[in-house]
Amino acid sequence: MTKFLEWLACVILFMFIWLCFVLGYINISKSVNHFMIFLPFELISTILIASLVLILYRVATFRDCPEAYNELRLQIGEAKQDLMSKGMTFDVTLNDDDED
Amino acid sequence: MNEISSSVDEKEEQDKYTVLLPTYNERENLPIIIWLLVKYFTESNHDWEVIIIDDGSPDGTLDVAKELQEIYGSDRIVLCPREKKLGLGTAYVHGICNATGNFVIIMDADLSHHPKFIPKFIAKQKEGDYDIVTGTRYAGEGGVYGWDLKRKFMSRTANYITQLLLRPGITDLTGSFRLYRKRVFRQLILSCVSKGYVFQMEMMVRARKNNLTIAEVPITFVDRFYGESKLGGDEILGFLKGLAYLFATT
Repeated sequence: MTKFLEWLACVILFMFIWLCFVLGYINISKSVNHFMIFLPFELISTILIASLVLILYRVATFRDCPEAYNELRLQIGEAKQDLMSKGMTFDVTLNDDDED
Repeated sequence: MNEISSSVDEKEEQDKYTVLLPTYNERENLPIIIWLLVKYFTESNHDWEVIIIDDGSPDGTLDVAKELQEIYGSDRIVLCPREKKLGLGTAYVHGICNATGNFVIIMDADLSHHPKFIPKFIAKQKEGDYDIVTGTRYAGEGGVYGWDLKRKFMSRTANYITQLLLRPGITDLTGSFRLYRKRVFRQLILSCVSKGYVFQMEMMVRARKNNLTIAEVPITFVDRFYGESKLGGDEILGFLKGLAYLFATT
């Protein structure tokens, strides 16, 4: 079963149950009915807000790695020196300085 | 769909690692990446080779590759050039023909992926006899250098939607720094049809579908040492289309 069909199956099942409440085929009690009828909207808005919070948290805790950049910078210099000693030529146009 | 099995390959006395390196206009970066590969493979004492697949780079990348071949030997540096830019998937197919290793490592040649992680990939693979080991920028000690807030937000959002829709079981689906068992790699690339980094996503999703074992190793990603890479509307659209395709067909 594809992911799309899995989602579709769940949505159809949920919609079926929800419609039963909305159209009155299932009747438990006033408060339960009320809860079920508004459930999709509350669910969707809760999921959207929770998702946004989670994404913002992940952005805030996204690891920067300046040490990786610095290490690479040093190694580029090392590599060029070693390769030049082995006979390689490098264009002088690009250097290691930041453009920022 | 053919079953991709994970049964044990012919036991080889020593594992050999083939690095597939597609290049396009990487004249400046190629010597550095090769030097780093030599350094870390030599230090870790693994048998290895690099296959450079240059797509007719106008900046003379192939000439630089030939110089490097002279320095390090043609048993270590193998050249499989092509006439013009033909895409990543076909580059891998082209390169794998000449691979003599029983493991394949794919990575970018623009210095965003650091060869120092390769011994870690290898160790991880041996730890659990995994079919695939993939680098992740999003977990553990993984990270990125050179992304501003907007880029990070887009990346996290894209990753979140992907996790929700595809439930891949790995944290970084669009990464392209990976170690594969060669036979598994060969079978996977033949069954994937997407282009670009959606291709990388498809490889993982299909691997999961075939119950292949996958492990992750945190990596640091230095985005474009010589400038910031752009993420434009085209890339975003391409990503969404690719995601929809995978959602609907896997």
